[in-house]
Amino acid sequence: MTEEALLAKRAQAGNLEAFNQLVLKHQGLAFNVAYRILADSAAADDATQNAIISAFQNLKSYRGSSFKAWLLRIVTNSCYDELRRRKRQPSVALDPVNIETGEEIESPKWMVDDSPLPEDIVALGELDQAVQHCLDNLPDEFRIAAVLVDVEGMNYGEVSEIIGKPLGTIKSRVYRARKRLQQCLQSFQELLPVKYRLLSEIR
Amino acid sequence: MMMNNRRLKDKDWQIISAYLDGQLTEKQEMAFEIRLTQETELRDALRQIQWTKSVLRKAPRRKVPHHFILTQQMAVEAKRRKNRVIRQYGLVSGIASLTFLILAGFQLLPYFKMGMAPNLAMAPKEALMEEPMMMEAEAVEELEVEEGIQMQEAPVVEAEPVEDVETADMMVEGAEKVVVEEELVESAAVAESEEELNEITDSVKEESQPPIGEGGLSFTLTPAPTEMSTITPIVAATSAKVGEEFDASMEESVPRAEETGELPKEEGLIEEDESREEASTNEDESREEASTNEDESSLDQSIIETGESLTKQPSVFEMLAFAGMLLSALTAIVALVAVFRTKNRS
Repeated sequence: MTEEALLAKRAQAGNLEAFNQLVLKHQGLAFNVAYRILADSAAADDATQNAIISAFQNLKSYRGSSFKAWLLRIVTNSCYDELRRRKRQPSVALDPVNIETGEEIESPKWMVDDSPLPEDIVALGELDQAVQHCLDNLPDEFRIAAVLVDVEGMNYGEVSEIIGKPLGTIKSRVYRARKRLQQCLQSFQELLPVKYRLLSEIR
Repeated sequence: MMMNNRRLKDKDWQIISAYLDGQLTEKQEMAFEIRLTQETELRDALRQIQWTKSVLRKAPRRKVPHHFILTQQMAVEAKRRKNRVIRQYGLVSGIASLTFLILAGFQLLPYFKMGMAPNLAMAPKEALMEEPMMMEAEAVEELEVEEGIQMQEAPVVEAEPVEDVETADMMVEGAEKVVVEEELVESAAVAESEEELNEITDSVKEESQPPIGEGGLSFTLTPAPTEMSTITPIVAATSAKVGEEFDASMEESVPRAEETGELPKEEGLIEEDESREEASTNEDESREEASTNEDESSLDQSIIETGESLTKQPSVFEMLAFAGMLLSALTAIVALVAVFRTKNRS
């Protein structure tokens, strides 16, 4: 029995310390997945915290498989809840502010079409923002598949377990997401650091 | 460098993606690698997807803003909150189920009180009104059967002292009388007024009156149960009256004929007796008819009321109760599903 399985068993028996050790081990992954899906640090924080509490409440339903996959399933469900809530109650600030920097955004993304304009590209600048921008333009299902497979590097089997869909569905979602991401990221290519450009990648 | 691989199909993109993730079989992989050497567009597409994948994989990771571990207090609160949610949903489900049962009980209570099957309530009013008519028809049939039985039995008992020839004649007369009485039954059913009925009765009585001194059969007609009948009481009363008169005349006439061999009585005396008996019989008849009519009218009224109560349009209260039943059943189901989901959610 692996260390993770032992900790999970002790947590199921009511040992909070064991549960917290598992949380510490996977919290970074959980938060980053939530952040890439929701594109918002505060929302990702809430979703992760809710997922951890929900995991503790439902420890009895854990059947001894991969704890990481089980926890990430709760996290993605929590993110889905938040995405549905946003669709029901869309809220857009009149004076858009960048949450990270606190600066006002001159050209918010809802004011432009899908293909980024030069000023948007300049604003995004860095790779992280480019990736997040392209991920945000994907449908929810494709975004989650891309985050789990390409950003977090999980294999199809794990993703299938997390999302609860068959392997064929995962493959399909991944290649469709990649096709769109490739087109989006190419538009940022000239602004990316040299080492991330396609030409340097090829040659 | 923008690359357009417009000639590639979706299937090609899927194979490229699967190739990069090691999802192809050995055979598929070899076939794909052969294609790569031959197709420039496919090669370019593979490079683009490879680059996309690497860029995504190199995207910087965020640091967690804080640890997400649970304190003892948070753990207790989390457990308590889950139990509270389950209790609340369970309580809602229980209340809704109870409401459903109460409303359903109120809906079905009238049928249990009446001791009727609930589907009778859906029967049309006409069907309810047919039942008394059927009972009437059965009562008339019973009466006819009784008459037939007594017609067969009566000559054996009553005609013993009479000679064979007379007996045969009287049997023929008796049969004629039965036929006449059947006509009376039909006439009585059609007759609406008491006067018409009396006239018919008198005419029948005159026709069926045997010749004085000849002796005859004794018809003892027992009135059939007449509570549900509209025709039978009149028929029974009339038949009884005719039978009684016939008996009385026979009692007086037959012994005298046997003893003296003369005419039993003068016509004037007989007429006086007949008129007296007729008067008293008419009084009885009218009283019986009145009481029967009263019974009939009250019975018809109760039947109509019952039919109306069973077939009338549902009231607002009944419709509200029905809507409440549906709502409570739905609430109970939803609450139970919520309890199930809360318990198993992960």
